[in-house]
Amino acid sequence: MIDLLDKHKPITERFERMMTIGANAMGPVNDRIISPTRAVINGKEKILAGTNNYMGMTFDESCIAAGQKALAELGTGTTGSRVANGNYASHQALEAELAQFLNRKHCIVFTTGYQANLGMISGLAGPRDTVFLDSDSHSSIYDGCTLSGAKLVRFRHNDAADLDKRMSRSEDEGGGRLVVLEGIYSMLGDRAPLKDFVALKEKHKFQLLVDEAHSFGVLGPNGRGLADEAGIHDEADFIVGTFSKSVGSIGGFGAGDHPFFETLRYAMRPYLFTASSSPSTIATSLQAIKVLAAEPERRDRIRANSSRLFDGFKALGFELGCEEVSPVVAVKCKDEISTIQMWNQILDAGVYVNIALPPGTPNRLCLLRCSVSAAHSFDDIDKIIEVFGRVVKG
Amino acid sequence: MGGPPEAGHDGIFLINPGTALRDTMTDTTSILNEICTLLTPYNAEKKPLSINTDIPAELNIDSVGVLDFIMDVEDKFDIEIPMNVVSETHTIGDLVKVVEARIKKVSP
Repeated sequence: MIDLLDKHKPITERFERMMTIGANAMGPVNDRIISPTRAVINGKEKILAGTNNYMGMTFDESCIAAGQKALAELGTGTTGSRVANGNYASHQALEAELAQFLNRKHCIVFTTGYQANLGMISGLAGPRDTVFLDSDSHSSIYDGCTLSGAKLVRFRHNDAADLDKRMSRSEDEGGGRLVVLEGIYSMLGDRAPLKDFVALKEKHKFQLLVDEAHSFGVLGPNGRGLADEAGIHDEADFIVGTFSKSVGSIGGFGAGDHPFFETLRYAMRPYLFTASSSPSTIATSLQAIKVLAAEPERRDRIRANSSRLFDGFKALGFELGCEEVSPVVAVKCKDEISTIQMWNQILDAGVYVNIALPPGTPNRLCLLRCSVSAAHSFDDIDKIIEVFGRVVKG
Repeated sequence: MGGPPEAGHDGIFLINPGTALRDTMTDTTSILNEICTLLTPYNAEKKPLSINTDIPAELNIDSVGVLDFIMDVEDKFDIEIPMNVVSETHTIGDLVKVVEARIKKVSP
């Protein structure tokens, strides 16, 4: 008999090697969460700088109250799909609120952000269609593409000229063309040059989906994401996002203005065949969207914090994931072993950040990845810079 | 220019890439040599290459590395190799066949 788990032995060996260096960097246990920026890990309080809690919403009192009320009034779970018994008025209220926030005609809510990409991409594209995806795309985009059955063409990261070339030589399968981009790329923190890609729409006749997972709530004059910041709202045919970052909850969404958008509800397997979000989760997300709309100053704070961390790291001479201010600030490191060692030293010094290693990173990079929150104080940011200066710069 | 390119496995390549290359490199040996050259930066352990070499398994190239390498192959031969095809392409020999077929499709 061939043991099915034998193929994963290299992963086990890699994990064991990491554990000989220190703590489990692939999932340290939060013994207790104190606030959006503080947790107790291994018995000691740490500054959280790797949680994607961009707007610091996880402990917002109004969100907690809304979640508690829904829990008490509507129960713990829906026990069904949106197309069966799991379709509550609150799901529809959240979709309406989000559509308004995004200035879109339609919005569909998913149980997770991962499922939002799976559902939207596989609902839009089918076997005769072609999906063009950026080489640095998140795994949920790759998996959505695979689920679609469409022809998949990968283009070089953030390179509109490369997409132009690949679209020009791509054989016509007789179907439509979907280009998938991300507002902010999760590992390096760089933005897609949306205007450059949009400029290709007339020549190549495609529809555009922008995954705003890391940019929703953060970028743009209205907090809608990169399409909002870049001023290409009408050219972005479909928007995908998540509630697990700026919204501080869990779930995802797809949105657009297409007159047949609602038909997607009956064409997306990750929407059809899973239970809908629990009432408390939906209520929390709904309240968080209202707070994000009412408190634009949170965006000012994350911009200021991001700039402070970016400038501090640049002053230390670090090579960063991108050369623009972003809520994701990734420090490039030499190799896997030294990255794991530094991650442990940074944690011991009181700061939790993400470790990112190949193949989860572009170009086989080893990264110590920070994500900034509006809830961080300048003292927090300065502490992160001081710890990195001590550990990484040595 | 009808013969195989003067390319070694050290990345030195002496004929112009692009469409001109596609016109001159349609024979199996030439394609094999060029693919081996393109593999050089991904073959960190400098393992010997043959048509039977399993690219991801034997050369220890991760999934993203394989896709990056395929983009290089697409650009060198000016052809399209969709990701769907990559998952069924394991050995260097498999890839040579894919490239041959796609060159013929583009330049019948």
